[in-house]
Amino acid sequence: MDVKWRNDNDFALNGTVTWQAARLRVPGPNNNPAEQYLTLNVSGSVAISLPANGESAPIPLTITGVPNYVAVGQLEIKYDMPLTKAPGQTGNNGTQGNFHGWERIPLIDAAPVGLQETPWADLCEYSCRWAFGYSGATNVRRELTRGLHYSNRAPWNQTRYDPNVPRFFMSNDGFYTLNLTLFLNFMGDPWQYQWWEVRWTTMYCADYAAVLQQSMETQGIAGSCDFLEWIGGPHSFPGGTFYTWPMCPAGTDASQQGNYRSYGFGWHLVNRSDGLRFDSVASYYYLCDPQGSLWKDPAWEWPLDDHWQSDPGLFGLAFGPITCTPHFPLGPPYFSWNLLPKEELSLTMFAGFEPVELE
Amino acid sequence: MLSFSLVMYVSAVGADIDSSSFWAVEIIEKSTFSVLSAKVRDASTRPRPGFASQLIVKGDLAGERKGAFRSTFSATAVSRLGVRGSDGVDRMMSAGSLDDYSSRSPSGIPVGAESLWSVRDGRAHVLVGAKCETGTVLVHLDGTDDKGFYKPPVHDWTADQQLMERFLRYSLARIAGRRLGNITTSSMAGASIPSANCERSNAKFGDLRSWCTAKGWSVTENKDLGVLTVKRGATFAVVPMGTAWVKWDGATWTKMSDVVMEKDGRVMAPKDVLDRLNGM
Repeated sequence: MDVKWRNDNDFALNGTVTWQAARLRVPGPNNNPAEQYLTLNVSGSVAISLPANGESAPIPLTITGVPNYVAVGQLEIKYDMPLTKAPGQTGNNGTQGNFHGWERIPLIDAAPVGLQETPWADLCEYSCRWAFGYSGATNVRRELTRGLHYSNRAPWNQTRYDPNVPRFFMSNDGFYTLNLTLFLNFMGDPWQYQWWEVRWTTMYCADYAAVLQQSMETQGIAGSCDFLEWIGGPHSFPGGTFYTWPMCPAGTDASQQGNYRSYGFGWHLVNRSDGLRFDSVASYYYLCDPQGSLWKDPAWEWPLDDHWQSDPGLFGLAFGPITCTPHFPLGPPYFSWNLLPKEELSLTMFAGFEPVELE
Repeated sequence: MLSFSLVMYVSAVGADIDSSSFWAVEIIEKSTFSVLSAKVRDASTRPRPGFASQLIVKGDLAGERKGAFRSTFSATAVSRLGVRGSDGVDRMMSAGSLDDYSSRSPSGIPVGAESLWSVRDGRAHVLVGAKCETGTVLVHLDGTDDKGFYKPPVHDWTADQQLMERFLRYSLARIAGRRLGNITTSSMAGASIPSANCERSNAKFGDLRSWCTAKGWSVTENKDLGVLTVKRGATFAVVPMGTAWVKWDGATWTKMSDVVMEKDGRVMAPKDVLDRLNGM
């Protein structure tokens, strides 16, 4: 990556910067939220020249030892930087043996699909938390489903499922859109703004499905949303209700049998990727085949041609694909944060674990 | 001492409240919530045709109750370009079966063309549909068990539900009012009053207060519930805001052609409401 410094003095500065150490401060799991660190490697010295009231030229910083799995955290650097104003007038603007926190760095599994802008890029923060520690599309897709369901490595705010509370996914005259900015507003800024306690964001299946699709795309996994309904039933109430086998909503302890109950649906939105279905809203008590074994997890890699938590005697469900598109409302998000200020510092993500500079 | 700064910019964080939504802020802040953000957008400001006027409000519990537990208030009211339902009522995209929802509001006074109310699992929720509008209000309690999963505190929902009802009635009235064209003076139901046409249906609406003044009726407004009562002698009618239902002479609720709206501070009633008043 390239680093630039700005000198606000009315005199020039010259010297060297020596990279001493680097690490990534990463979020811990929910049951152990203390800060954790991944050690990175940096080395080398570079001459630096800071003109008066001006910026230095871009200074290369090569980071190695980057983990080969999905991660996210704050880059912390230790460096020495003796600078000279004039002969005999020296100082040191290094970190004095301490780590200084710089940018948030998401390590993603593969080149993202689609847009790569704020707030889309901000979703990387969450998708990297949800799939933290995994690599490969199959594993990452599964862990994104589980991670959204269990709010893995949540900074504070978490989601919970309610089938009747639409929040961020909207249908307007045939357009299906996810208000990603609003979702991120509710989730909050994991970097600069932290509540004292967990805040819960209630949302319904279409919100979960749209967020999961967008999250997969941040990790380079293409997908879509599937609209499920009971064959013969209209989309809208009161007709067409179908009932599920026991489900435990996201946000609730899925290990407790008492938290499972049957839900009635008019329709249900799930995810499709690579010809398989995923659903992060609830832990399902059974596999998609009601004759199968206990599952007690959100659905991943379930087949397209089987019944979806419905008694086969009731004709099963019909599936119809829809396209979910990101929706960027005007104005910045309420709790906005610039993931990386690409105007002044090169925006670097690690796609496929090879550094790739994004425009 | 030498000094320099690393080039880095961070977005400002602040309340996101636009001036046109002041009324929404006022309603919320007279309750036990404080507003975090409130926005009203016209359909015409959206980047593509077919989008809707929107009101989005988000609040946080304030005052004495704040220390006891956390609760959030969030509401939307949307006015679409067209009518979706075959029965002329636009509905929210709710996915669940609504088995545990009641069609009766806490006060018993209708909201919109139809409304569904539910208290369950740490939240009070209402879904409202009207001729071209949908609305929802959610009051949600935060709470976490020892293992970090959701567990709401025990809670009395009476005050919250009254706030939800009041807010939704005024919200629907104001967001629906955005489908009215310019107000002009014309003759309606036997009086020359400020009036406007709905830009979606071309139906006529008239200023209820001006009509009452012209025809010798009195108007009182219950601002806790958003309900107007118009009266002349022993004859009266209950006319709630944001509702297609009017109660005539204390008898039964009758569904009229459209909801009672608000535009430019005026209560705008559908022409059939004024016609019926004129015939009483």
